[in-house]
Amino acid sequence: MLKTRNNASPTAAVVGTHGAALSIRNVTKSYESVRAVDGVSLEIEAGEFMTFLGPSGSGKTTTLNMIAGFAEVTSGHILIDSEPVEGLPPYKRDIGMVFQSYALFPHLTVADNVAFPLRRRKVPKREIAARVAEALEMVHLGEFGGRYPNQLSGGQQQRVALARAIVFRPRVLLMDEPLGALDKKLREWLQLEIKRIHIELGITFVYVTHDQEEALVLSDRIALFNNGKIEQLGTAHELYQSPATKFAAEFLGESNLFTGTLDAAHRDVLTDDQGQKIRFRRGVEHATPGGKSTVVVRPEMVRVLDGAEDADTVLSGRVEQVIYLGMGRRLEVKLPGGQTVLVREQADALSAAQQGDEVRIGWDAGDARLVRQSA
Amino acid sequence: MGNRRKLARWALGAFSVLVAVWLVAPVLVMIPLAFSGSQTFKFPPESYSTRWFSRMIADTSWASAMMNTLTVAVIVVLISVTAGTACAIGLDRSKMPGKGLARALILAPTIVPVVITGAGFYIVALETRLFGTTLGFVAAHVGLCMPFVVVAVSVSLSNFDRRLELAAASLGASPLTTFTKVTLPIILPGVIGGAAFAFITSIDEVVVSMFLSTPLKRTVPVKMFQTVQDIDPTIAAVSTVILSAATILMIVAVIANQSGRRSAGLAN
Repeated sequence: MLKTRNNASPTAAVVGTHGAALSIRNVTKSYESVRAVDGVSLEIEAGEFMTFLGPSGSGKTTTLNMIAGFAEVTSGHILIDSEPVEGLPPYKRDIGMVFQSYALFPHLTVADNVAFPLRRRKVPKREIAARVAEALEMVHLGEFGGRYPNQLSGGQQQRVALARAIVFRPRVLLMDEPLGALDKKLREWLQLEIKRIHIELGITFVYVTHDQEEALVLSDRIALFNNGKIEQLGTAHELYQSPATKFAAEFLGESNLFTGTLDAAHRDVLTDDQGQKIRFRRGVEHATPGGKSTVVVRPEMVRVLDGAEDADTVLSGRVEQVIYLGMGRRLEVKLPGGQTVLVREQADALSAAQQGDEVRIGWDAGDARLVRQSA
Repeated sequence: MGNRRKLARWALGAFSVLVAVWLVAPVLVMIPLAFSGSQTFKFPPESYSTRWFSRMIADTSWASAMMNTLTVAVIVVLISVTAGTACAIGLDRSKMPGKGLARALILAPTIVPVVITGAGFYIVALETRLFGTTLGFVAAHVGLCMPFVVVAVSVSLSNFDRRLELAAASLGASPLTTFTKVTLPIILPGVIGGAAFAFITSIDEVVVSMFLSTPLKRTVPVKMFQTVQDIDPTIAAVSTVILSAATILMIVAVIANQSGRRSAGLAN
């Protein structure tokens, strides 16, 4: 296997690498009395792009550090290609890591930084030069091998760190908020670069971020972390369209939440704190009549109703603010009870509502979803 | 107004020069004296020669004192740098209780009056027969010199980004390789600076060494101190040699420190 790789063309050498499957089984990490990670289980497929998304302190970085070997698991197991790695020190795990702070070696040139993992693996000198050149080429920094890290911009430094983390063909690449220190435009460009490299290499990526947009752009699947647990696991589409919990609905995208009590007679009606009847069809299977619950409606599902138009749920309010977004409008409608409902209108379906207008808004029961209070 | 300001600036300049002369003159006086042609400490010398350098080289007791001094200094530097660097890293990383106390104890020799340290070593030497031995000098000097290494390396470590060690580990470097290929090269300026200070301290040390010296085995500063009554400009020649060596070392230390600061800036 190794031989074939060495004889292949330089590009094929890296592209031919295969990712490993990662299995996290009931992993817990306790610091004294605090449970930073609390019984997390997760199967990551070989070659998958998995994102750990969540607010700071939700356990996503601690989980990543346990995969890397920087933190020991308190209990549970981590398996790479079915082999447990809890006992292995980080330098024997063959996992690439990219840090938010770049963590380039300041005393080494860019080329020597990238060669570092190859030298540790006693790769022959000639091959090192070829593979370093290839890895730098991959991040468009072929000309920068002779420079020192402090002579590069933040974005360039992070690309060097990426080249260094993939040059030794790790089975898994971990990235801890790699774009967190960069400005928005650079971040968006590097997101696409990372996605391209993931496709080219075919190795398993685990990416930690608190930025939901980044997670939506990059991931095959997202594990949404909260309070040391996985709140919800699924594709970006699943998480956005079918949030399972109140937290998931609020963390990903904008949402309108109505909290209240479920009707004892009708499983699909919630009476919110203001006495408004909210009808929903999605998530009905979780409904416990008489229980306290929350219904989520995404702003793009809410519309301003014309005079005679009807909907499953209809509310009245006053337009407080109108923001023109180019591709549409975003309206804030204040209900008599004080709650603000967000409405997103597409450019081809703008209503006549202006700031200060009294309006009726509504949506279909099929666009409203009942969510659990917590995971 | 402008005049007064000008005057003040001129006065400040003159005062600064005066202070500088005051501080440096006693040191610089030794250099012309070393090249004096006469047998006295008369300044300025009436004639010039290099005879005192010849005398210094010819007199085997100076040569052996210098050998003693250098042998001790080299061994002391090796031990101080190794132990001091390890110590600084330990103090930086360890979470053990009593860490502050350990640091205070290690740095104590720089605060405790040297005469007391010397007397202490004298009593220890009485028990262990370490008078006039290289081991005795080394043991005493390490205690005095290692704190400089600990302080210098601690400063370097406080600027060191520990995530670099995590990065090295993720790239396949064992803890030992991580130390030799990443940590040590980055904190090297502190290590070199500490080594230079340790070397100079050992070469220069007179009080404790005096307690441990015998007529047969002593270091250069002790011999200078004991022969200064002879009114012999040879000690001026010896001083000049030591001064030159010390100056070169300090320059090396400063350069090492600056390049270190530059590479520390790289991380950000």
